[in-house]
Amino acid sequence: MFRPNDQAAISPAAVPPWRRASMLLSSLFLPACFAIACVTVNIYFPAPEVREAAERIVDETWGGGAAPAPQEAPGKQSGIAQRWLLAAFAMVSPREAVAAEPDVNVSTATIRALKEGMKQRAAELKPYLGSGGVGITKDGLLVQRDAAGMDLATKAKVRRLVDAENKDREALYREIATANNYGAERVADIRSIFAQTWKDKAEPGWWVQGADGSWKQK
Amino acid sequence: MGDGEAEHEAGKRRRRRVLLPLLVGFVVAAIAIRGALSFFAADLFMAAVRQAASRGGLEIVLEGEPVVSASGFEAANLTVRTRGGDERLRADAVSGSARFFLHRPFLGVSLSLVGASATWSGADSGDDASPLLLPLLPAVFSRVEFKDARVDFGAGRVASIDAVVTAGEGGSLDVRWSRLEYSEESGERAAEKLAGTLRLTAAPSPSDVAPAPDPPRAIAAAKPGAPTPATGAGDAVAPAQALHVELVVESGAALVGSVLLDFAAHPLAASGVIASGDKGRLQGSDLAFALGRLLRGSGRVALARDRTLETADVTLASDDLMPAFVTLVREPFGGVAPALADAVLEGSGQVTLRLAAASRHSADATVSLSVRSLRTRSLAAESLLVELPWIGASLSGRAPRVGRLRAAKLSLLGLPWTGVDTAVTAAPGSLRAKAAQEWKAVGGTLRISDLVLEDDARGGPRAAADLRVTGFDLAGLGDALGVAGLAGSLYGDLGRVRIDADAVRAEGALDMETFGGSVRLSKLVVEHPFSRVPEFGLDAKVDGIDLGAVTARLGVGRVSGVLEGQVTGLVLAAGQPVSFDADLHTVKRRGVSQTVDVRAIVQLGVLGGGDSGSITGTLLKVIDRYRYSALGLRCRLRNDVFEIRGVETDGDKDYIVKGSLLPPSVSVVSHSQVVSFSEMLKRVQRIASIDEGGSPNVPSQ
Repeated sequence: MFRPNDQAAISPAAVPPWRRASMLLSSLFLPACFAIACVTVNIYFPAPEVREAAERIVDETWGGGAAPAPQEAPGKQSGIAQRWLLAAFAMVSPREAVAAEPDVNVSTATIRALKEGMKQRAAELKPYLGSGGVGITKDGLLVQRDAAGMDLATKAKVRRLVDAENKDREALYREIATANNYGAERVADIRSIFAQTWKDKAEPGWWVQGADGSWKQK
Repeated sequence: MGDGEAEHEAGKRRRRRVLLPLLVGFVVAAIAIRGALSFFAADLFMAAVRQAASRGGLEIVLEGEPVVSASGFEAANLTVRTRGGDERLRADAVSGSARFFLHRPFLGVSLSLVGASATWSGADSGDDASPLLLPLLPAVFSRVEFKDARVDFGAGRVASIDAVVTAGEGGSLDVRWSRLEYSEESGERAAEKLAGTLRLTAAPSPSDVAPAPDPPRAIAAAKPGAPTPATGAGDAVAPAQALHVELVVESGAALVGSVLLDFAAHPLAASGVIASGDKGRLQGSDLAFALGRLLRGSGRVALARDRTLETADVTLASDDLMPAFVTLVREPFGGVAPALADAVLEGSGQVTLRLAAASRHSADATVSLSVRSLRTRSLAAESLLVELPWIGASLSGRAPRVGRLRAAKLSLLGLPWTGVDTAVTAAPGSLRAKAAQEWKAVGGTLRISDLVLEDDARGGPRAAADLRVTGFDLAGLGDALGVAGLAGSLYGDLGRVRIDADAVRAEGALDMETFGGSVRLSKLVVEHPFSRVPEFGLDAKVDGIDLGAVTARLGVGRVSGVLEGQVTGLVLAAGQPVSFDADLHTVKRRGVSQTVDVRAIVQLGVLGGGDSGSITGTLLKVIDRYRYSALGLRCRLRNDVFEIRGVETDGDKDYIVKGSLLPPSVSVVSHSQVVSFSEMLKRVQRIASIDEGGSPNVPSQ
């Protein structure tokens, strides 16, 4: 009968096969657990900082708007949690890791040129946003919404403005990802954050599309 | 009163006794006839309409009897279906008036519909008679007038119209509309205040269109004197027929995507034969159109079931390209493609296109242009003759075709080049220059060889060429590009240069022999070349540059020495740097002194964050030049933040200039290593304002 305190007296030849298999599994399992525990996070996407940057850019291009709607608690908690994790990580990490502290200072020559174009265009677009002729989609892009009362020349003008604005917005998100080394795969995250910011900063009376596709006047 | 007068009075009374009853009788009879006609009108109408509809393969369903009165009629819930049961047209309420008049062969009916509203569902089904439904009308009515008629095509597509439809001679149907509005919820297409005419005449079917079961019967029914085709589900299919269409749009405007067409300025006249074919196709043949002086075209097309273009054999031409270019290209797309924003294209042109399938890879086309003047922001050409064939990649069996490209004068990136003249060969999926080209400008030659334009399923449109540059005068190049202070020559083998929608990339490098040394430019790239903000990228390796010559040329403070180093990852956009890493420093060379004058010391100090006044205050003005042992900068720009380091670091001190051991020597130390881009711009502006004595000419910002 096998007993634990007999372990030292057992010769290798006397170890039953099931026991050898168990020991082999243990010897593989423990290093595997250790390897899994040693997590390396190579990419950090600072959503709160990007959100702050988005608010700055939207303010600069649209000249400020209504105060942004309060963020949902989960998003805020996520940001705080990320900061705590970063702080903890910084305490135990070498200096190079600390240098990864996010700094989303989104102002490069490209971004400035894009913002300037968007700012000039905003003055032309705002009357149509106010009248409901143009709305903000759930993706944060502009769309011709209600063309009632517009003649065709105006519709054409608005469409061209909307197309140019949407193209610049996509270029802006791409450039922010490039400037901050987030990689092309983060453009969608940046777009999503900006989408919420454009909607939050919409002025009263503007039309904004909800997640379900319905339109609501702010 | 005499006898004569009495007799006259008696006659009058007799006539009254006779005429009055006759008149009353006539009026009563007229009222009775009119009432009878009105009484039977609904049945007559519906019988005629149903019969005609049946001949056209359609079925009219009316829920409830129409209400007919002397002033008009009302009907509710009218539905038009195919014999298969598919609903095509639904009108919740139709009201109007009918007028009867003598008309060949015996009685005419004029119908006026006011405010009719209907829902059309035929457009989405494809295999229907919807495009050819209209000829049903003259089989029943001589004249139909629509006032504010509204048709809902579904999916947010709505049209309203004021129009008069009359049966013309020879079985034609004439439509004159004084107002046609159309809109889509998506805003993709719209029409406003369109006015014009449409004439539809039965025509023989094009031989290549398969017989269609429904529309020909409708047309046959519309044709007076034509034998009535057999009806019933088991009947043999009648030979396919088609409609000859003549369309004129005299005024109003239409919006298609971003293209706005003003028909008052450019009236549309179009004609052709339209027939529905198998699988819901719609075939247009003998098509011809003219859009004012903008554009004219001819040919034939086939539309698929969903009304997208399926095949085409068309020719488009313009005798005056500029208005066509402005209306169809520059205005609609100038906002998203800035290169077009102020572009000019003057001349004439023609495009022939054969499309064998709904893909550009099946296109067989030839573009012929005779351009007096072409101007964009970066390209200009005069007397440009283009004859470019194109064979789509999927047309693999086609024999190659030859074309030509010739320009008497060419300007690219502000440089005036000698003319271009090259033959090109089109093979499936590619267009290749037959021989190498040599363009000459500012004393140098740009050799372009193996130039090829490709487009196939493996990738989007792209171009590539081998480029070699020899002997360009940098001063002339700088003048053309607006870059001051360049000197020397430019040469190099750029290797394979590839252009696509996302970037222009060169595999090779350029070399500048300048200021006694050299600069090698590599990793040359233009990202997003067709966007509003293209980004230029390169690496530069600097070797043996005579700083004395550079500073003398630039008109800044004098520095003697030899400069070496490199700039990596330089990205420029909108005329400003976006990012780079630079390490530029002097190296000791035998026989080359290393000195710096007072003005240069002050300028380097300002660049490092110092104040010009405090710097000059610490210098001995009696000494013009100071010795140094090392001078240089290590800079990094990321995200609008400059990090500036000197050639040597000591704690928080960075030496931009490290003094020599022998006097007179000077060291310039920076303590502010990180500055914003805007601060760096201010420093550069302050540097430019510093005079020979090292003092600022204008107050510091």
